[in-house]
Amino acid sequence: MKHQRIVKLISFALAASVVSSLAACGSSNLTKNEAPSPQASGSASPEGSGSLEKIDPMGKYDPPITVTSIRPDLGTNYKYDAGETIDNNVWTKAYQDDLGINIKYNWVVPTEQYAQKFGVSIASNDLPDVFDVNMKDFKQLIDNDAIADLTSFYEQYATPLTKSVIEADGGLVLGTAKFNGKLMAIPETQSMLDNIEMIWIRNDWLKKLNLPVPKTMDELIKTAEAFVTQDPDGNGKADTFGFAINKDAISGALTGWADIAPIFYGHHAYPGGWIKDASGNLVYGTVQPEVKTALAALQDMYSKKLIDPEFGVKDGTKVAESTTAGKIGIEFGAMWNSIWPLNGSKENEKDSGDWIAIPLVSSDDKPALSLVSSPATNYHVVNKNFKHPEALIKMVNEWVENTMGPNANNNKYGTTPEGKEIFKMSMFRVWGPKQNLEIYQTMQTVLQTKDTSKLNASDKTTYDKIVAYQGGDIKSWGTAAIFGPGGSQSILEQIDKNKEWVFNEYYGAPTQTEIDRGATLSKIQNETFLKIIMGKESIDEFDKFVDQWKKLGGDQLTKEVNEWYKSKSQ
Amino acid sequence: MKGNTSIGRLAFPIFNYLFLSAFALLCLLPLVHVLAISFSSGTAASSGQVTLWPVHFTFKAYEFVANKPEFIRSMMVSFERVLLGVPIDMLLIITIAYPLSKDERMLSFRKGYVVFYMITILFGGGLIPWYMVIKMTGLIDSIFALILPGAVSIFSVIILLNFFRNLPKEIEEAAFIDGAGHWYTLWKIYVPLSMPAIATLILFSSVGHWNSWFDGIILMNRTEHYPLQSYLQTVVVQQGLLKMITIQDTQTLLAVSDRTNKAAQIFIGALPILLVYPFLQRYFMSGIVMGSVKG
Amino acid sequence: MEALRARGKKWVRESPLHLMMVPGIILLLIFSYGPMLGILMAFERFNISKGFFRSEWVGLDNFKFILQIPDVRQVFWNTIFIAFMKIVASLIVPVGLALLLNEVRAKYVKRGIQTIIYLPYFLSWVLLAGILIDILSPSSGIVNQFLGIFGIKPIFFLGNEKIFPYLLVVTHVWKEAGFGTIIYLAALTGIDPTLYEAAIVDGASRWRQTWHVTLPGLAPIIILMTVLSLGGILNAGFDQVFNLYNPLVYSTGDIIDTMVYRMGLIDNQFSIATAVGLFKSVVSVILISVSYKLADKFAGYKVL
Repeated sequence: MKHQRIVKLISFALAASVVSSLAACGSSNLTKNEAPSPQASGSASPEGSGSLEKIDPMGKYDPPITVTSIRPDLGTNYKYDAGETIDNNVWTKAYQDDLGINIKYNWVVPTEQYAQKFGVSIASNDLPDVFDVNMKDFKQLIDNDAIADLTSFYEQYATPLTKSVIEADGGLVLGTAKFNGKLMAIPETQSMLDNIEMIWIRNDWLKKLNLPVPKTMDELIKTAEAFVTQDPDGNGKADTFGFAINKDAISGALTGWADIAPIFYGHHAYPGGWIKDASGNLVYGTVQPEVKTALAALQDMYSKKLIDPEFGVKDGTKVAESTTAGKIGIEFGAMWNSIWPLNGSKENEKDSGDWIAIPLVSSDDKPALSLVSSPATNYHVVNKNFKHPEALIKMVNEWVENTMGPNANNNKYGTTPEGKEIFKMSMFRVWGPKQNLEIYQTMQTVLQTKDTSKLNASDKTTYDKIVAYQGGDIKSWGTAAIFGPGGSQSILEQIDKNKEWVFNEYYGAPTQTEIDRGATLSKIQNETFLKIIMGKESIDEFDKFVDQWKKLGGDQLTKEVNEWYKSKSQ
Repeated sequence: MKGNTSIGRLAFPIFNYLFLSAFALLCLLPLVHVLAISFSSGTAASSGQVTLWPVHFTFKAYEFVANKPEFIRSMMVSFERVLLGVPIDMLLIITIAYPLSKDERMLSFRKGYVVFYMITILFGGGLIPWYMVIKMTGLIDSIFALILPGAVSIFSVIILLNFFRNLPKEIEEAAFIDGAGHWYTLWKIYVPLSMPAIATLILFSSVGHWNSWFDGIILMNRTEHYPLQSYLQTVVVQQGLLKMITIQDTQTLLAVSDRTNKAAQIFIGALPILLVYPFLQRYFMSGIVMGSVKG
Repeated sequence: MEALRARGKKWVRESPLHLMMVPGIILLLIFSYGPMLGILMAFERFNISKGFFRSEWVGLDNFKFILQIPDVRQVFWNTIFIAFMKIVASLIVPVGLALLLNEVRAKYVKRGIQTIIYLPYFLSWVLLAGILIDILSPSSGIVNQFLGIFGIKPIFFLGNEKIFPYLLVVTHVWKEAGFGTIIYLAALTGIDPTLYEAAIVDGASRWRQTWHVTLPGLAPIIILMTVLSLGGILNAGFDQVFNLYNPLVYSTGDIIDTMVYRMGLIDNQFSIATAVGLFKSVVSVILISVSYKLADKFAGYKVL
């Protein structure tokens, strides 16, 4: 649970530094492709809206309007300038000066407490005019008829540039915000690639034991065996393990760090995903026969002591202690793992781990594909009773203009040269789908040409860190291992090129059975999986689990998901 | 037979001391561990090397906390809460416990009152209605939102009224004969005589105010208004992970590991109550009060 | 006339008693009785935009839903078992500690120990869980190393479904006992010293003094604490279980609150969360009333 939060935040953060790169390389493409300027499209006649107001996507309200909202704070490490507050900063001024919108936050609390506070607000119907929600709350608000239909407002008010950013993936993520054909929110679009996991492995151990970089599942297991039996840390004790796995990852869910899912992917099993079968229907990945094969392999790995025998009780932070202490040589995780927690291992003076990212491995000749789900976790919505729903779209336009438009000023609105993240002051953000990959590509070019003149502030910082790491600054390793040559983004670049993924076809809100039975189903799943892996139950227990799953609501769930799928494709 | 008892007489204190020391040691461990981490270097703490003694001793975490305005600000809110909340709590507890300690003859409708109070500890409407009521009173985001809603602790009332009941009736009767009223009897006789119980309840009330975090999170609209434990909850629950938000952030953060900072904050957070406790302890120990009355 | 005057006089005499309760009663009416209206939610399909009064009335559907959850019986049983054991342990241990502390003659030792044993109370379960995972680890934990001296093979405490509930009880006592001890120590001060003097005159040993004077002196508060804690029979300690349990011990460690949490009911399904709360209240009412009556009947003791 905790990791999902970091995944999200680190991705944001990386994306942040990326805002600028979009302006540098991405947005020029975007604007080129779109012929009409925002102003031109703005004067297009409002179709069927019946509104007599002139549609101007960036028009200023006169007299100014007040828009209430709520938001998480910027964390205790954020350093405000003198006189600057969450209620008064360059973004609130931009809304005021450019759009005539005075934004007023009803409350501002730490990210960690946001859900609690929001839960209470939502239940007591104490909702502001515009705000952000996750998929679950989003669904509830729709069911309770509490938020506005944005379809026509998006059509009329979103500038071509905004649309091009939001729909850069072909409208896939935007689709997750549509219910019965109505657009109920603007999703905070993000990169789908950045959630894809890879293998992080200790290169120094490989070298020490004269092992090649593993290319197949068999080689990976052999490598892990060597890590366990051949004393890679040279302390004369058999105290090392092969794989780091955290307890929240047992079901095969992606937590971003120390996951188990890539073992399943290596056996072409996709637990947690809804996959198209031969007949075109969706089936649940968790109950497919491939999962049994993967579990058998995991059971074998566990019996060979390749996995910490106590992994079932250790959460991500606890597991991070083991990697930092140099007890573990392999881990499956996201591209940001070098920023946390592998940096701890790298900086451990006694036993500095040289972690590298390598692609996933397969148990046969077919490539290992990752399960990819819709990356949107945040939805911008408008209270049904709010008189100016278009204000949200205008603020999103403002975001896009200021950070990615032709006149974008990232030093002012994005990240300052000192690394201050002004962009966080704006709530209504959208991101291009491949920002981090694009930074990586920019870095590779600049590292060749050494011409840093075209880099914006935050890219320059990233570049400086890569160079600093190459010059021996270990503290900069976290960044260099992502964006530097051969960094984790290079793995994603390949995946992107070869389209090595399986799409999770279900991206709607939880169905009724999932709400009612989801907890029970995942409980028996976690229990069975963990017991099988630890050898407490035989592998045949899996078949019993599948029967039980179907009976306890799985069949009904499958039916509901397929109904949704059919309605979607029609 | 006699020999047995004398052995018993010797053996018991030894066993007693050993047992209590062992238990005390067990209870001391976690806090010592937290303390050791707070004085250790970041890497040592994050690789799980620290047990009961600091590894690579450093004050960095405490410097970090001292330079953290949020921590100090929320600590001030907590002090304010305790200083306002405890007297209000005690006033209410005493003024409810005293009448209830009388029997039916002295207090009409006593049964009705008992039912009225009992219902409040048995039933609750849940979080949402509770929030809505407090919102209606307009207390949201003010310090009184943390004080008034939970001010009447029926549990404490019950403890105190039982203590009151056990006070010798003769004193009260004597007071009444001298023409003293209820108010006088309560403040001049009952309260001074009940100091052990009241000290206990003051402790419960202060610890309660100091430790509660959930109401702060729900009822405050700005992080600046959080009491210390609400703030610490943010620090502890996130496990320091959320701090790694950006590449830029990591630079500053890695200088001093978050784990050690967390430990330092937890320790300082518990400190005020730990310091107050020995002062209140005087009252639990005495027991002279009652004796002197009877004597 | 005479009677009326007497009654009037009684009123005058006891009016301060009623008056002094007024502020407390007002606060309770607002902050305790006010929210009770929310119990309505347990019988509704609560819709946020419709509020309490206009949401759809569904009768007992929410309760039926809870009872239909496949493993609900086991979860209830786990909850009651764990909570009951905790109630018993948190009566015996603090009373025992208070009695033992009472026997300690050296004043500073007594105060020191008393302070120390209440320290764990101040640490959160998130933190304690991390420490417990370390000290209970089968490979490196101090507990298993200690057991190893006696030739006992390492035990995976946190992954053993038979041990887990007891582990919860022991660690609960470890964290809370020192705090509970305070109440009994305070009560010990209330025991009339002349009773001890009389007992000594009768030649009673310390053991007999404890048995015949101290324990009866503590009886009211013990009964009181028992009656009150029975109300918590369905609260087995969310924070503790949540931070310590894992799929290996679901069969014995999953409790109502963690189940409700996993269902996401806390966040979103307010009606069902309220129904669970109401169910717990009803059980509390029954248990508290029964024990209240029992205490009155057998010990002649009125709790309130």
